Amino acid sequence: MLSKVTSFTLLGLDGVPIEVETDIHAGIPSYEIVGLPDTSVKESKERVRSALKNSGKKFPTQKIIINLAPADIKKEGSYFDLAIAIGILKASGYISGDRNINYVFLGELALDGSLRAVNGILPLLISAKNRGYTQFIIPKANAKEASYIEGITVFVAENLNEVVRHLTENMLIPLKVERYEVTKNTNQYKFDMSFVKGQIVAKRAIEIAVSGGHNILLVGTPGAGKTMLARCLPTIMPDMTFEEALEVTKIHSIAGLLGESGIISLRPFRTPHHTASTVSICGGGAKIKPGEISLAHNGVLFLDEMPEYQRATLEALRQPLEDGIITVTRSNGTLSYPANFILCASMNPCPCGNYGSVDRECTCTPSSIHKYRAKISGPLLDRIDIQVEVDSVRYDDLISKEEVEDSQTVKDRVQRTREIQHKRFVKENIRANADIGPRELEKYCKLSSACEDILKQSFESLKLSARARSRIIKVARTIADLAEKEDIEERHLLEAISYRSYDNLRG
Amino acid sequence: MYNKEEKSLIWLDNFHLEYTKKLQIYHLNESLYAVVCNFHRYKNEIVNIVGESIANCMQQSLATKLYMQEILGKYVRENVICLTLKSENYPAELLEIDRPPFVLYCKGNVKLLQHRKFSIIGSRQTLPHILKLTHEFAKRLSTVFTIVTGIADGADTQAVEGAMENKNCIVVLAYGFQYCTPECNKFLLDKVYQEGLVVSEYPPDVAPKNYYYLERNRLLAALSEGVLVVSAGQKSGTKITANYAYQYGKSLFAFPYSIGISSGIGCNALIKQFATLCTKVVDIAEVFGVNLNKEQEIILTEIEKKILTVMQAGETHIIQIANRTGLASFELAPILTALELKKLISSCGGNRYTILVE
Repeated sequence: MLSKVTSFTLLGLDGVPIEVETDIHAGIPSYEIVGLPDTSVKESKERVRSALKNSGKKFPTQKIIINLAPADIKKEGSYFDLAIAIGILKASGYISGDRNINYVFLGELALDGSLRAVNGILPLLISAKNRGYTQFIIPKANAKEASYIEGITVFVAENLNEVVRHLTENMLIPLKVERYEVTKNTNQYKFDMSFVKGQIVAKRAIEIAVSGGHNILLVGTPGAGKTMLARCLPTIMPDMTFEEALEVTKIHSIAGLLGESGIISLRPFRTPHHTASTVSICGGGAKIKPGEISLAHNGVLFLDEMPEYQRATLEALRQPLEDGIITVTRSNGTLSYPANFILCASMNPCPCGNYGSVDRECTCTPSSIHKYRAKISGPLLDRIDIQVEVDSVRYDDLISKEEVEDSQTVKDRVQRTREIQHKRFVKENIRANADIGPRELEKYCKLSSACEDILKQSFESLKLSARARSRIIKVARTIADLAEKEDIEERHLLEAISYRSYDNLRG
Repeated sequence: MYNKEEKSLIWLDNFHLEYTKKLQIYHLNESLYAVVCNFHRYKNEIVNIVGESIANCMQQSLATKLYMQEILGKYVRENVICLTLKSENYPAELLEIDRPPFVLYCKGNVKLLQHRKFSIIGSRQTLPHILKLTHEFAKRLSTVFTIVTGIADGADTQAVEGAMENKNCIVVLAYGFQYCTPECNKFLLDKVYQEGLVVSEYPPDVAPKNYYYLERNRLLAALSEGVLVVSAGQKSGTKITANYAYQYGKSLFAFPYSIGISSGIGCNALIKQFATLCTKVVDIAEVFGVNLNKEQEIILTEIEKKILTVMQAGETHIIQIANRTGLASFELAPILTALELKKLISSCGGNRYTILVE
């Protein structure tokens, strides 16, 4: 007898329906899976056999052929275990009737017949929903993740027997849809702006960076608090919308990093170590997994000690920084993952780290400093709009006993600035000021003649590179937005010019 | 172009001999040209001085006129001008020292040698704000003096850059023109070749050696009317230049440093011995009785004036300025940048600013 059961597999972030066809007929007992299965799928043969046996079902001693269609897609992972088991039960006549034909089965089987969680349930369900599938049976362990999708019926089961009983007696209750609440997640970050004392210049720079979506470089001596400041970045970013949260959760789901939480509502903060390979940062590998830049999507990618990273790895960031997407091409396929993140990098001002420090003396010569800084290429630096110095000294004694702002206060301002930008760019494909291209620069960042004069003067006397021009104007636009001003004024431009410490230090 | 005596000196210099050996050969006869013409007569003495093989080389080179033609042709092609001891335009200052170079190789604007010259020197490891000050000093002084310095990292580089704003700079190399150390200053050196002057006592194909720098330092001191030491460590080549300057009776100036800064120990030591403490460009100008061109009067706003007053104390952190003026740091940032554009202050790392003009 022949049976057909539907399951799904993932190609990048896209789910593809897989028809699991099972045929059982008389002959020498054998058990074969065809249709380009990889090792993890082939192994499901043994899992399914044991699971059926241990669930009290009879494993047919006949010739069994299982075909995963379409046969030209390489199948990976353990998504098909449940579908194969059900297929065998149907083909052997244990489950009868055609009324369960619409279910999509997803899940890995344990040898005792219980269902284990699989990675990537969220993107699978979303793309299945878009393809018109509405009924799903998935492992209970994936319930949280699945509960955020509206418009589909999801049944969760703990083991194979429950699934079988449901197919015959309809015993499972559909999963309740949960509402995504933005507000409940505030104060869940471990860090807060109020923890950072002093550092007024750097804090202001971070606020501007987040407001305009600019990438930021923190330059400072060791122990100045660069990492602490960087960790504050997500805390002042606007809350993620449901769509954003879904995008982030999808990627984490594929990477198997979702853990207990059903949906990721906090902005990701990724800190790959500087020994990280290009593949681990950008994505790739045999199964083309998302890399750190995709995991940092809608959040922050923090590169601590940037010059220590491999040159090739840093250069690979250039294109995704521009496009907000990474396309990984390998011999077995091409996949695109979103990678829209704020890059926050930190570095020492010089090899010994004490350049510009008050209490410690720098032992580097200008040429060794130059060499150290040349590790970060000009084109990459061009994509980092704000460069700011983090003070090395403890200024506790210098600061008046002012109240330190907490993240929420700053966040409110950022939110307001972002809204101004949304209104302005409603017709363009731009999220924030940092994405302004050369054409929009003319349109949205008009400079008065006084501002043009300042800019011209600054290039002459501060020896800025010509590339710095658009960078400065974009930051000035954000500063103007932060001050809720329509036009870029001179003081906005002048402040923007002050965030170019790297160019400055180079001289 | 060159007369016979000059050509003979260029010929002699071409064999990369030590100074004393050159001197011995030079003293064989009143005229070096006479030695060249009658080489076989002096051969034995020359063998005693330089050894058999070099002497043979010298003799061979004289066998044909081509050898000299080739050297001179090469110098012309590379725009190298040779000023020899016997040349009319040989810098008079060098004749006053005990070991003047036989040939001074020049490339660039030779007229600069006739100007009043002042030397600014310092260590490779110099504090950021001192570097900015060095630049400013070199720029201001180069309106009156031609600045003489090296091309090393750090203070020298800043002095060259500052002086090159007025195209009034002489760089003294410790090696031939074919080389450049540190390599990162190649671009700057090329600029000096074109708009300033580069001199060296070594033929173009001589590679740098450590002790050449010590030799070079005597030229720095000898060429200039005065020397400003902006930074010098405990054991510093800069101190050697300063000692030469003292020996030659030149005026010596040094920046004062606070206790415990290693790049200033040498400066403080010099001040204790014989150098004049110098904090302003005027300190130098007064000694030479020159008037520096007044900087153009810059119109300042009230708040800018206030900030400048606050910054008189020296290197100041932005928070200190904020506290003393009562402005928020983000309000200060534009004003400080504006002051920087007016070249009144300069940022020197770590959100600190230094004042450039009093």
